[in-house]
Amino acid sequence: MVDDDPDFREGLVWLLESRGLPTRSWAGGDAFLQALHSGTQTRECAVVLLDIRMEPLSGLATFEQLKALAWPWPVLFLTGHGDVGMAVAAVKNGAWDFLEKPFQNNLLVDKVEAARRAAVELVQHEQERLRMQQALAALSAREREVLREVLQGHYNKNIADHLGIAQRTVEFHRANIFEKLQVGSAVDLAHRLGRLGLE
Amino acid sequence: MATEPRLDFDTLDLDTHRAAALTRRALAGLVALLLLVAVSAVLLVVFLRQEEAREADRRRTADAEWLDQTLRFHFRRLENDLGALAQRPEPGAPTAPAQPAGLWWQQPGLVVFHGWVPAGDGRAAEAGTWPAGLQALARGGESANALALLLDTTRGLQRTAHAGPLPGPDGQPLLWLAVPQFEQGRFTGDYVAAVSVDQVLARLIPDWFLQDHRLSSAGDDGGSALAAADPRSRFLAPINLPGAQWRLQVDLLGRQAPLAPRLFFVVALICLVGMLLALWRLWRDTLRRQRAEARLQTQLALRTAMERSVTLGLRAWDTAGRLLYANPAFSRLVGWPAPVLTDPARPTDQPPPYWPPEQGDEFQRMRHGATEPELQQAGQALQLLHREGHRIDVLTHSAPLVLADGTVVGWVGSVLDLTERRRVERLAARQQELLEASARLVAVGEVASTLAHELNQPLGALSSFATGLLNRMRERRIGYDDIVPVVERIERMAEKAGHVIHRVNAFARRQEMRRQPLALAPFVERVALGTTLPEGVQLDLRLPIGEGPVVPADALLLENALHNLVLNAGEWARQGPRPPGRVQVAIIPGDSEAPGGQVGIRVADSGPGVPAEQRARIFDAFASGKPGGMGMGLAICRSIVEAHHGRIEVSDSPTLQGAQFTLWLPLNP
Repeated sequence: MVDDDPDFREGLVWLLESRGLPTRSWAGGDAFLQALHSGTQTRECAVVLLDIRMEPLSGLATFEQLKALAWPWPVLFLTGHGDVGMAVAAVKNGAWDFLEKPFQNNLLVDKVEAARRAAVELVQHEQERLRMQQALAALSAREREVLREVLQGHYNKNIADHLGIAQRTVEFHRANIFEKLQVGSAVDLAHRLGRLGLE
Repeated sequence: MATEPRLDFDTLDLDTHRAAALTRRALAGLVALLLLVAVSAVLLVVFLRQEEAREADRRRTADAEWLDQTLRFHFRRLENDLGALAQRPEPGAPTAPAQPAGLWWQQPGLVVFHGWVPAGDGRAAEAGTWPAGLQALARGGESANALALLLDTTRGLQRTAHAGPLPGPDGQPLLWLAVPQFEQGRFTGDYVAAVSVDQVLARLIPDWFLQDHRLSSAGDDGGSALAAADPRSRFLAPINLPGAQWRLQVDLLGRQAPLAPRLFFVVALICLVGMLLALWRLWRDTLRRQRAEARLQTQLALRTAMERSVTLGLRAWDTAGRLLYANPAFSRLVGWPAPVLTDPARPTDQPPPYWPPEQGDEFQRMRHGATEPELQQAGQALQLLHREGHRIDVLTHSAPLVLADGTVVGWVGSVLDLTERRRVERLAARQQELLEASARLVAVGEVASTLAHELNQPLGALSSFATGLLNRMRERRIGYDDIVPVVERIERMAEKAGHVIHRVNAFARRQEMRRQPLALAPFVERVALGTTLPEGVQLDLRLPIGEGPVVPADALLLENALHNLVLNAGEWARQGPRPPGRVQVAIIPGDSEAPGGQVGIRVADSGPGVPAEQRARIFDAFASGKPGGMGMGLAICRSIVEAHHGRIEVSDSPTLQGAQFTLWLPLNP
């Protein structure tokens, strides 16, 4: 939570913690960035709330710097009257969402929760992708050939003809692939690979 | 307007050219005439001179013939006389024969000698009967030869012969005459006579002829003498006497030229020249007149063009107040053609058709405007009536029409159409109002934005604390001791928000109200007339005479409120269902319920009115019914009236069927 108004900042912290969300706050964008650089704040999964109107480093400038650091987690903007245009532009630029003051407080918490869940999902997605990539890398050359044929939808018999091997051998490889990639069927395999954007 | 005759300067020039060509043709004709007259005058002179010369010739010939005949007649008589003398007995007698009667013989010295010369020889003269001089003459020289020839001739030809003139003994010329005598066919002799030429001319020619002729015998050199003299005053008349070489030189004495024809001619010439002179003068005068006319025409055309193109309406009256003239601009302005306006048959006691009768007598007002120095300068703002019924705002100036000698012959007035100018002013004012409104809008937007931000922070924080506290309390996760500081903090933040509001209020109330007694009637009139209404919306004032009620009020603030109301009413009246829009501003006496009495200023319009369900909130701020409106106008009005301890109310207007706002002001707050 980054806001230069202490009452507002502490009020929000008080609110978020009342819903069981562990919260840390900084009085400005520069303080937050410095904490990231110095390592006092790790880059673990988190939702960042940024006030748009701050001095000297505004919320938008802070967001730009976060993007430059390849910050992966959701950023929400808090806007006052008349800053909505800026906030919309920020969302188009990659921010998660914005909240207009004065807000329904529990709605704000709900949005933060949603962003957190999304972040968590993102983390899980990333982990699965990483695991799949590692599994793919662990396949042997023959298994990769068989995998390509399977993904093209051929039957085992046809695959055996194409690759000039026995149908039984194909079945053996196929079982190996499924086991290594931890999938139950060819459809499941194709679905997962497509969702993770892998070949 | 399209048929308005257009001035064509080319046509004008063409006229002048044609006139010039006409003049040139006239000039050429005149010159030809002049030439003809000159030639005929010369011809006439030549003809006259020839005629005169012919006349003189004829007279000379007649004179010469007359002389010839007269002298021959006399000589024939002399011949007869001599013949008679020769028949006398004894012709050779020495005694002088008796003198015969007749002209010849009565005049002494006329016949110098006469005598018988018998046949034989010419030497008879020597017989001694001849006078000595004659004998000497006959004796020798040319004269003798001539005489001998004379005698021979008579004898030979057997008829009378003449000789001479020969110089006589005393030198005077003599003319000789010989008459032969025959007896039985035999020549017996001649009877010879000598007559004095000078005497003949002096005696035989009648006096009437000699009065204006001088005769002399011309010698052999007569021709040369004649040549030397003027041929018109001298001529030779030959006398045909057989044998004699006698010519008479005639000199015309006191020769009078024929005066009458010359006189007539001169008179005719003078007349002709006079006529030509007159013609020339006339022509020159015509030319001058033409030039002046062309100049005048151009001037007139220029004046007419100016008069036609000027946009200022002009009128002129005679001293009795009859409209003499109205220019096209004025006709266009009021929609009446000028001939109708200046119709002499129109009665003067009746106002002209363009004059609204309630403005008094036009001529009086105009004359008043011409004599008041202040009105002369500033003019009078009046209204005229268009033919189609609508009113035209005009500014009029007037002045007397003064001749060069100072006499006032009438009055002239100019009329400037203000409608267009008013419209432009109205547009400009409307533009200005829109501009100001948008500036106000921006300012208010800025204020609202700042205010929102200022309030957002404490209110947002407060709300966060409250919600957080509530969440914890619902889950009973918080102890009493933890609650107190949070609630304290909430209270602080509520105070902070209250401070913001206080600051805003302090800013809004910075202007102090200054209440002074205000006479409502002139105030309302000034504000209502000073408000620019949309075009076509008519303003109707219902005010008491004089000052009207007096209330203690801040004139500036109250003006603001009233101005807002009138402006609002104008806007809505324009959108009303029954054009033209109307706005009525009235001062109404208050009802008796209010303690101390009150007075109302009522602004009604013919607009769509205010629906009953909106009446409760039209005075709230930011509740605008107009596109682009801020919704502050009525809110401000209400604040101002409430500051005066009055109130504002809205209802339906019973007269104009629109909305009606009434500002109630207490007379003794």
